[in-house]
Amino acid sequence: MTIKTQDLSKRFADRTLFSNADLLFEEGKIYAIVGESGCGKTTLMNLLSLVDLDFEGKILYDGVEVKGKTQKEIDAFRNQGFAFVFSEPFLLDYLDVMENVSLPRFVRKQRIDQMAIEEKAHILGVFDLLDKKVTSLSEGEKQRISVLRALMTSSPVLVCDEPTSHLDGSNADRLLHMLLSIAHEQKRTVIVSTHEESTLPLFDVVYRIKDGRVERLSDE
Amino acid sequence: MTIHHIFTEMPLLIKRIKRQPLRFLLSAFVYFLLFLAMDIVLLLSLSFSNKIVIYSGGYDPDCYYSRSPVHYDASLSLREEEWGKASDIRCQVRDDQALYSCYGTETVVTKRFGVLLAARAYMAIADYSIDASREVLDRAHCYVSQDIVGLDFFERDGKSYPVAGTFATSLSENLFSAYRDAGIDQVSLVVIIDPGVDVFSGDNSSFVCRGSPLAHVPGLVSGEDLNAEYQSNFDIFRPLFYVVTLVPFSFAMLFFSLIVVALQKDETKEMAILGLFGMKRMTNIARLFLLRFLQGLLGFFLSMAIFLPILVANGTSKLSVFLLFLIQLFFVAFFDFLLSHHQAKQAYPHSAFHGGKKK
Repeated sequence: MTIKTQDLSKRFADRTLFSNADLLFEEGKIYAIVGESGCGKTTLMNLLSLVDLDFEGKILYDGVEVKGKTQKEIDAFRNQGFAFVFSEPFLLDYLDVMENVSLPRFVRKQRIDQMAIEEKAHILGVFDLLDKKVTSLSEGEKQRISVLRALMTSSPVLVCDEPTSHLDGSNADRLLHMLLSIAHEQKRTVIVSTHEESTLPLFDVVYRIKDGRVERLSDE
Repeated sequence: MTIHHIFTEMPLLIKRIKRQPLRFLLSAFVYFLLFLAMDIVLLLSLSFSNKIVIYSGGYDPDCYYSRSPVHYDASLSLREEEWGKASDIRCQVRDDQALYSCYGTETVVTKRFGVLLAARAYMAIADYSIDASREVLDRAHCYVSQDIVGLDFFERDGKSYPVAGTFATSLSENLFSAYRDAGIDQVSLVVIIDPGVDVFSGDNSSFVCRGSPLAHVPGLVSGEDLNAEYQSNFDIFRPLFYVVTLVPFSFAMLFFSLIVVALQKDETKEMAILGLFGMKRMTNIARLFLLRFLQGLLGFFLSMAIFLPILVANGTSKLSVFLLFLIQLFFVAFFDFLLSHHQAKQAYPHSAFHGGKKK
């Protein structure tokens, strides 16, 4: 899915986070959104993923504007189009790893294909974790499982809000490479917010939010 | 919330309860503590409200009462020096005072059982406030004295008490003389009263007073014992009861809600995650509500197992117990719903999730 914004602005009563942003997110690429804490990274991701509809300007999804549709249609579009990974993995500890990974499909009342899960787990290098209990996983393993869980939605866009903020260097690096392969090999649009400058060379495109503007820093 | 919402979430709920029984029991224990606190408040309130009622119109613990009218024959059996004299006492309520009037009747006069106590007619003032009622009840009986006969008012401790009643002064004088001759200057009061009679009803409840000594009158019950009985049978539902119970009850619920929120922070995150996976808001709320309801139910039954026997032993009526438990369940369910709704709002913070305003 290609996401394009036109004159996108986000304002609160007392300040403007950013204004007139023209951004482009294409499938098969991994994007970074960087900036200082409180600059609006998460807000921008919420806007892009239709979690927050309060904005000025336009956001087009494959050329179609969704904002004007009914709430039910927007919810359905978001559920189909977006998968989420957060800074905390938010795994349910009373379910085992396999059940956690299946949860999105269970909630959506979709068929749970164990073979597909194992195949994706194998690709992401977390196959050995499927049999384990959530409580026995390390933070890095939990976060990788949360990525696998997000992938089970088959959503074309993966939105990751500071997924490495609680991970050490090696685990963070491993997770980012996993996201990179998801974007490139599975042809998904991966959008990652981060504040770690050292990881930016891994991304295809980097957007920086600074002084109320969103700048495109790099290109592939 | 529909049956559909509840049943679609049952598999997740059952897994949660089966795999984390301790967590479930811990939450149920929190509910148990809540119900325990409420039951204690209830018991205290019951006791408090009953005392209020008794102080307003109970029996004088220093007096003795008969459950049924004493037949003249019983009086006749007394020795002459133990003559008892009977009279009717009528109760009237004027403004905030209860007036006990004593009347000597012709029958008792002619049969020489008469107005001994009528001669000591006194006013019992009860203005329904606790202190005033208690004060008067403590003193009313003690102020029975020969000295006040024939007076409209008598003074004790700087207070004026009107003397009520009409009786034959000449007869009283004779009787007093007889008693004086017998060396008796203090008598005890016996009121024979139907225990079911509300002494403040003002509907001409008829009491029969007799003089002492009383040892020969059968079947007498002390006022103290009757008060205990009166307390256990008295209807607890009075406005004061609601004030006394509902205020601490509300604070208990607030305290409980804070504990539950603190204990179940993960619930908010779980709701958010399930919401992002596409779970409907009402389904999400129903899931949390159902989980808490099951926990609350367990806590409720535990508290009931402890307090039901106590309440029954305390003489609380079945209807009262049922209504009180019903109120408890209603309040918990109500707060549960508010809490679940509050957490849902936290879990679905953006307008996209709850159809918020758009610019």
